[in-house]
Amino acid sequence: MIFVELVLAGLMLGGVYALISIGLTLIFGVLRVVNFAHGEMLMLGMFAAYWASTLGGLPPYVTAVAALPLFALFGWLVYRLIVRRTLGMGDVVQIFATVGVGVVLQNAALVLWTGDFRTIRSGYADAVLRVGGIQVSVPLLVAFAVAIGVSGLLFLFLNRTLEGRAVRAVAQDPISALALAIDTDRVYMRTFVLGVCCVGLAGVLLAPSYPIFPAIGLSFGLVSYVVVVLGGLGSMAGALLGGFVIGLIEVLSGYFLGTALKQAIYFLIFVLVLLVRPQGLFGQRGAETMGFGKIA
Amino acid sequence: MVKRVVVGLVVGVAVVVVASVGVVVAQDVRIGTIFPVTGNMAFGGNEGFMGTEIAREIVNERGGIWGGKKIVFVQADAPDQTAATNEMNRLISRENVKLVVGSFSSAIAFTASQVAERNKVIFWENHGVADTIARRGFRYLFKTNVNATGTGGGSAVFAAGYLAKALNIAPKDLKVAVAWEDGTYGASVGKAAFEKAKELGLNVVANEGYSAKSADLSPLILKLKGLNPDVLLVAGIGQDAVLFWSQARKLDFNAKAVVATSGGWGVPDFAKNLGDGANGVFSSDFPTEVNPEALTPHARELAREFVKRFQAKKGTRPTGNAWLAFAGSMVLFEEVLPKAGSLDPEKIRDAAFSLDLPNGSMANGCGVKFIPHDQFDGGKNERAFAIVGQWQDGVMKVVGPDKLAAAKPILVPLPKWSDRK
Amino acid sequence: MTSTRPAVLLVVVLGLMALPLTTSNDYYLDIIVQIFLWGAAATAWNLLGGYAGQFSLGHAAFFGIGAYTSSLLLTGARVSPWLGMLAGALLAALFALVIGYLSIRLRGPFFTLSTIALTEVLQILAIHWRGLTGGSEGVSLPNAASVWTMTFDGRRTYAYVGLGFLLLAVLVSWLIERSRWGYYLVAIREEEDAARSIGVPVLGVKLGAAALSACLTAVVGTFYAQYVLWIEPAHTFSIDISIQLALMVIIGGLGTLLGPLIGAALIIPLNMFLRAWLGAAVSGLYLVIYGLVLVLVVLYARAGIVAEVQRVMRRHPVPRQSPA
Repeated sequence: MIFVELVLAGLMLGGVYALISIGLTLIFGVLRVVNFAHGEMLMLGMFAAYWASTLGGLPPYVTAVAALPLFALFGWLVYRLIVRRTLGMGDVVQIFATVGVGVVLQNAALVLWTGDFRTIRSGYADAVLRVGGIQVSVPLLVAFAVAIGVSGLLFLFLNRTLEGRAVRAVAQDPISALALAIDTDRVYMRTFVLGVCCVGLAGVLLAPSYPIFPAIGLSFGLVSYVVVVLGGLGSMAGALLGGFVIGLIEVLSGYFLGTALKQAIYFLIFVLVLLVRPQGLFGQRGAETMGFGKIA
Repeated sequence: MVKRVVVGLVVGVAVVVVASVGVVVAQDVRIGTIFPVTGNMAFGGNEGFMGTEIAREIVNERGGIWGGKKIVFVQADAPDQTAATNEMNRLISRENVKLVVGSFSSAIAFTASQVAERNKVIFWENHGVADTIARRGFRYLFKTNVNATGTGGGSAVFAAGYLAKALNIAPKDLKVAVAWEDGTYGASVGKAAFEKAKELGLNVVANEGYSAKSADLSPLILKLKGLNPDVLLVAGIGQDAVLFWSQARKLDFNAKAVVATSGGWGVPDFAKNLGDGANGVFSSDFPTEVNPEALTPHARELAREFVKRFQAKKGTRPTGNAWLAFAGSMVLFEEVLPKAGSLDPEKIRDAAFSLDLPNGSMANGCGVKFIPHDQFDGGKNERAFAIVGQWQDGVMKVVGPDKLAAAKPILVPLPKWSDRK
Repeated sequence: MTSTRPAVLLVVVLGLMALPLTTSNDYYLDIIVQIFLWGAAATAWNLLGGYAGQFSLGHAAFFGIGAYTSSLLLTGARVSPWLGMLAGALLAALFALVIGYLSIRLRGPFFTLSTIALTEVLQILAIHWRGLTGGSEGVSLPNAASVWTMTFDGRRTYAYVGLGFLLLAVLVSWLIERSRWGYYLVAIREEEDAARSIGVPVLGVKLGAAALSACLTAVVGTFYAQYVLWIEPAHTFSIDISIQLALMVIIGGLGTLLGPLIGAALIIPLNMFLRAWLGAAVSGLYLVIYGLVLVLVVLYARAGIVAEVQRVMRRHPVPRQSPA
């Protein structure tokens, strides 16, 4: 019986990780930029839900929709002011520009809202579904469903729509895409904004289930890199599957090996994947060693 | 050269800073305080500071010390150990403070007292519980509170004694799980709880450390759930306590009794965040609002005054940590400093060691007698003890030992989560 | 790469030697010690990040290995930190070689991510293996002042010892700048595939830089342990240290000799003064400022503040001192 509960917990956690990682893998797949501020953007999404709930009484599923324009605006600003200038500029710029953004976001949150843990105390946060002898938290179930839904939608978008194909074209070969009169800058901008919206949405949906504080971006952020590398950068299916795998590994290793070491396990897996099969489960071989070509 | 210019600029800024140091009023007695006022231990740190502050107010109102001099605090905020080192350096080197009071957290106490000791500054610790704090052979450290063995061990003793009887299970059959945050505080208390539980012959089924910085404790909770213990002994330092217990609710982990060991489980914010979920949780904790009969008249008066002022400031009744801060600081301000006559560390040490106050003399019911620094646990108050409290209706009530109890234990066994709300 | 003129270096060294004499106040001496300490560590980071172009955000791992090795040897086997330091350096170099060999194929951000992951693992292990490392309670080092245990009563002495380590790191960098190895590093950094095709031993050169960088960082880690006399996993193996090292070097001037020191000299005092002026309200504020500066420098002044100031002062084009 406990095994069923463990697997369920692992899948729920996996859904959480998948939801967080979708934005990251999308941004990397297209812009070839690793967003080192990803965890901090998640944290902002969580705070958005917190403040909406505390100050306005808005439940998270309303905030999820209402805050999307805010996330889009934020993503657009970050792209125009910073990310755009890092494309094709070499490692130090690309790495440290987003590292810097992450540092600013985390510490601005610390200054504004202090390091105190906040929790959303609403009926929604504590709601549980009881099936047989098993109990599942409703917010986590919703996050799980949304993860699958969003990745499905994105997959359809990328593969069945013209715009989506343009995105894939740019991801595969930006120079040729330019030659085909695709506005690469606009594609990059929209993809980045989409990625930021995804992670913001993830933050809002996860806010009821976790304590909210500035440093939480670090813990979730690090895991999302593991998920994305495992699943394959740029792959939606990879983010989903990678999320579930890591979630299960974390819960099971926490149970059998002790909670102190569970994080060590998935970091080791991370390094292992990077060394043995850097393209991950679904990624394209060579995508990660291609480095950063000079794009217009 | 460019390099020279930059260095010159830095030195120039340094000069400006020196010039802007404020003038010290000769009539004040400047004492440093260091607490985690921000960060994940903030609610404990703020409580601690408030207790210390009320002590200062009372002493100042009643005529100050050394012929009318007022005590003035030079405050430091130490949300983590790095900040603790930096802040202590600032207090000692820049603010010229000779005596520092703190700190709510064992980790902060450990770090801050290191810096104090190196600079021959007295560190007056009212809270830190980790055994290792007072076992480093320090000469300038005084710790008024009980050790991890007191709270941690106390939780095991309570389980084997009262709980085993109340649950009608023989101690050797009582399944006990021990969980602790793996920082300085939790590791120390958890170790004490575990060892005492084994010593008393309890059936210990788990001894798990976890990181207080985790955002998710579900693997641990599920593991504990699978082991189905009768009693959970747990040590949490700050907001991890809230996370632990709320995830226990979400995952439907039901134990018949939970004995925490103060820290994050013993502060009012715990009850505030968990609501009804907090009720019934025991805490092997620091004495709080003990039975007034157990106090000397002076202590009784101080206790009443303290509760009144704390409620006025914070709106809640003080818990163990606030009492520690208040009672310990009153000993310093009322007993030690007047005898010392100045902030000279050697005089303060002599004054502190000269104290021999029986149990009931401190506002929280303890006595005062410091162990000499050349002995084991040097600098610790050997007349400090732990009590067992329980959250009842959002308030921590003392339920043991009998002499100090102000209420009887309730909710044994704890109702299941599904039966609550 | 442009080699710094000896005359300039001499002036700088003399200035640094005079610095600890300008004050007797412990607070300011502490700042000076920290500038030297972090300047040394940043210079070490620069060997791998600035000269070799591999951006590690995991140097806290080497820092921690150095600090823990010498400290555990001191408390457990009464080995002098001067010797323990060498053991720590060796261990760190070995660690760097093994990890480097495995991950050096990884370009850019992936290398960075793997360094972050490895530091996290070390931190978790350090907390978990309480029997060896004392867990979260850390390792406490004896207080008694003695040259043999690298423990001193006065901060001024610490400042000069720290200056010694700083000058060591700078010397090593200077020698590399002027050697063939240095030219290989530039070639690899600018255009790795081309360098490989003309026979530059890319793997060997990079691994060498990694090992040397790790060694020096570990040595500084030992000095740090002997200065604060207490180390524990959360701060010693922390990503904040790794980020700060990179920050100092980038702001001061990546791949330059004195850039790391300048970065340290700018960041450390500003942090201390901010804390003193604004008190508790500042926690995090200085990092917001540095994050912003990092972003601005990386986008608009990639060669670092040194190069920008030089450019303004000499009205020359920016010398090729940074990776493209």
